[in-house]
Amino acid sequence: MRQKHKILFEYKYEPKKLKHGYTDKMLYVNVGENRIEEKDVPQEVKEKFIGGKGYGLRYLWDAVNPDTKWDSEENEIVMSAGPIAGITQYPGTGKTLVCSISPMTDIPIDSNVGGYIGPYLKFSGWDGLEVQGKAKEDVVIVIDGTEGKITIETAPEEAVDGHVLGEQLTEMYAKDEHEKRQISVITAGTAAENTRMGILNFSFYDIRRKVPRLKQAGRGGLGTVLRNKKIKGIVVKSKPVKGDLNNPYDQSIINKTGIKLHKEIAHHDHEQNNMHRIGTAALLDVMPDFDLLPVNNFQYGTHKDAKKINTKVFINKYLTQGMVDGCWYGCSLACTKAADNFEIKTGPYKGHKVVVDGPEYENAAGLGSNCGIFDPEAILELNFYCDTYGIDTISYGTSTAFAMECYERGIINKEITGGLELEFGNIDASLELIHQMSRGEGFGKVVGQGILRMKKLFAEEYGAEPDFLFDIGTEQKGLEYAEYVCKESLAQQGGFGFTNKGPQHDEAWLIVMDMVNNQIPTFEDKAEALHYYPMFRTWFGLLGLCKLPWNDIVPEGNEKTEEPAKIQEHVQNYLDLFYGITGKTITKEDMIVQSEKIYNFQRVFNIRMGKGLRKHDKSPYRMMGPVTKEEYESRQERYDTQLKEKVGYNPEGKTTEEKIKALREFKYDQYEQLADAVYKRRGWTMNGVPTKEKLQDLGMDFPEVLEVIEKHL
Amino acid sequence: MLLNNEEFKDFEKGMTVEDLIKYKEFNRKLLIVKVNGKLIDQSQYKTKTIEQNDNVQIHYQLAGG
Amino acid sequence: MRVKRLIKDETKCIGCGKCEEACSKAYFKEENPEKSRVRVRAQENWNQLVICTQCGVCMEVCPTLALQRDKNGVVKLNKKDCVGCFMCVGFCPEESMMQHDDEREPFKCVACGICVDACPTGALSIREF
Repeated sequence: MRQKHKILFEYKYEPKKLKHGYTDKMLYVNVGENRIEEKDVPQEVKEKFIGGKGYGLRYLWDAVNPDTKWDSEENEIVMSAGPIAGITQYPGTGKTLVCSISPMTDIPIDSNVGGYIGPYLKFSGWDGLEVQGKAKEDVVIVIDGTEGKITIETAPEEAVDGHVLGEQLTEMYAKDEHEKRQISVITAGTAAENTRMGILNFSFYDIRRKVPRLKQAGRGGLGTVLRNKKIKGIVVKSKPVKGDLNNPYDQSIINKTGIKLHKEIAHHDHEQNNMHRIGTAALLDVMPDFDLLPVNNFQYGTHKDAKKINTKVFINKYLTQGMVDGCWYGCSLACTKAADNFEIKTGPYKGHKVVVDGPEYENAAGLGSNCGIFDPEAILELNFYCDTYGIDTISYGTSTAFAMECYERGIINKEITGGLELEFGNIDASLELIHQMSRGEGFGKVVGQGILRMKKLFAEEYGAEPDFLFDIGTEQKGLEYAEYVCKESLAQQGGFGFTNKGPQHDEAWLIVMDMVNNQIPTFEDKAEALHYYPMFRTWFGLLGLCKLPWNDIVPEGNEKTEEPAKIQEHVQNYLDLFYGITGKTITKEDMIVQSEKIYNFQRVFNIRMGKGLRKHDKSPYRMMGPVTKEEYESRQERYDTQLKEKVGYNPEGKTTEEKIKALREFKYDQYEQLADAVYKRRGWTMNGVPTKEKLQDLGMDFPEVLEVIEKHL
Repeated sequence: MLLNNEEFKDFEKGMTVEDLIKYKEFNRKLLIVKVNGKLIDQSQYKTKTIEQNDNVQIHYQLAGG
Repeated sequence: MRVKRLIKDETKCIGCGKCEEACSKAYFKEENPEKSRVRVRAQENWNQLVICTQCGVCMEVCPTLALQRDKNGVVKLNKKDCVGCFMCVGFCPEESMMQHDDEREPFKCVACGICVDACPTGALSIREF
């Protein structure tokens, strides 16, 4: 297979050693022109953009113009981890952020992914990688940090699907079994070629299972961009890993902090979220209790069959226990669970016994409950195919749920779906959709376009009512909502709605704090939370860090602290790690400012690309309240009480339709008031535009940035 | 009596923290209970009674994926 | 399986620290309790001996399989494969996987018996069981 490769371009270099977390070099690869360059990172960029998402957005901004589309030649995929990434002592220090113009939203997407790529790029001499242009035939990019060599090679015979290609490339570039751990591979999949929701798989070699495991940069369609550039895969080969390759300023504080957290996890994880046994799927037990588990396109928050997909089922029957499941060295939270020897029942891999990476909570909720499916094996099979075909489980799940609701309401029918009976709960139909996405045919292709495009198609071609579609079309800015029913949480509606990339819970996960604990009752409280948490959480994506060890494990005594939800001791851990790597002492307030710079830059970038104003932050009503009679009546007592107590509207003697209307007006008004409060807190105009003063304060008043906002002030 | 910043209508004299947790069907794990700003340890749930004018906060320490 | 391991009798320990000196001298060429694989921790009116029982939990949490049992069942660290994550240090139930900032990798007791020979009271011994 390797012999059929033609080397289109070769670049030899001297891998620069890391100093205090940085090499200060970006790698630029253009597969259209077969050109490779080293770029020195300017000091001002390093200071203001730090790394990770900061670098991703800065380099992407410079590469594109306001007319750039996701499939333009000049669109780039930029990936960078960040200065702390690659240390081995502290859990969750291997994350990479990937940015590009998204096929779903047409604005920048930033997607967060584990696996070994980010650290391995650093150890190979690169703070980040820019990929631009479109190749004429399928290529792989091979970055060999052991030899100091980068090649663009044709790869005619390799597979496209993630799990096969991952194995092929790992095998190909490792000289023996032992060296496989030094290889990390980026792949997409066949469905990424036929849909807008393609993902990137980032691998890490599992030494015990002897197979590459896959983590995903899931949101936004990055895999679609990769395949559009005719790139099959990217291989990074690193020298053997040691704990001090970052050449930290103070290794001792890193060691101490890491060991402290390992002990905390060893003693308390099983009492808290049980991450090392079940991973993020731990939420499956809790969400239905609070009416937060999405069922049937977010119509309901619980279901009588929810227990069929609870954690006990997955732990007892499917997820192998006792393995070392961190997605970068040193993660003792180890949430990357897998089902081993799982027999696939449909499609091209039928009969194969595979390793299924997952399910994450989002997968089980999106592929499962949101589509009315409560069969754990169906979820695992859908999860496997999403990964190997290269599709976002969230966009797939939510899009399929939307299509199913349209089918059940007669908006589309069997003729339109090519015979697929897209009813909620129909596992076979969902699986067939996915296989169609891989083959590039049938109604699967339509669903693979995402909800924004489906709404347009259904209204234009099939006479569907656009207003109703807007209500039940659970997307915003072109990206499907993540799997939480936030109807009763105004803060989370804002947490989704005011997010830069689209409705992903990356920035804010306030749903329990708001809906269950009622800790942020006023608009100002919510606005403060919608300032602090998105800024705080953004920080992780600048440094190469995973958020889960921040808040899915808490130290003893956390409940006694001033604001337990912020987990102050862990915040201090991160400040200590920052100091340990860079030698710079920063405060927790500084952290927020560091993030605000990039956050505001991204907002302006959104405006530049056409979706960064108040009107783009609107939410479909399905995510805010009951759209239909059944939804209202399924929670009648709650909604009648809300009308009486919060709206000042007497529900006695009113029809459900009248009550829905009254509640809707109230909720829309609440959302607008929240927008006012949030924009004010963030230093933006009432149209959601960062003000000149705010940008000056942050030192982000670059001429190109001011040029964009000037039109809107 | 306030529970999580809202008037709790089903208050009964002599109610303990434990009674309140059972009534609201809260899941035991990861609860943080404060009465009038004072943290109540798990060991005291069954003995700590709640008064008419108390401000009770029962928070889940739960963050998300 | 039969495993060669250090065993302790804390009632005999007089807290002289000769075991720590001998161990660190042998493996790090300096007499430094912080670099010993066996530790003496003075308690109120007794001395606690921190020793490795060769239980194998460290092997289970190691991401690179750098910790393996040798032919005597002793758990040994292959430094070449170790990435210095210290999960073994954090998860060791005896707190006997040691770490020192001078070293990229942790270090542990290999049941060599040097401390046994150094101990004047017989508080330490090696047995196979």
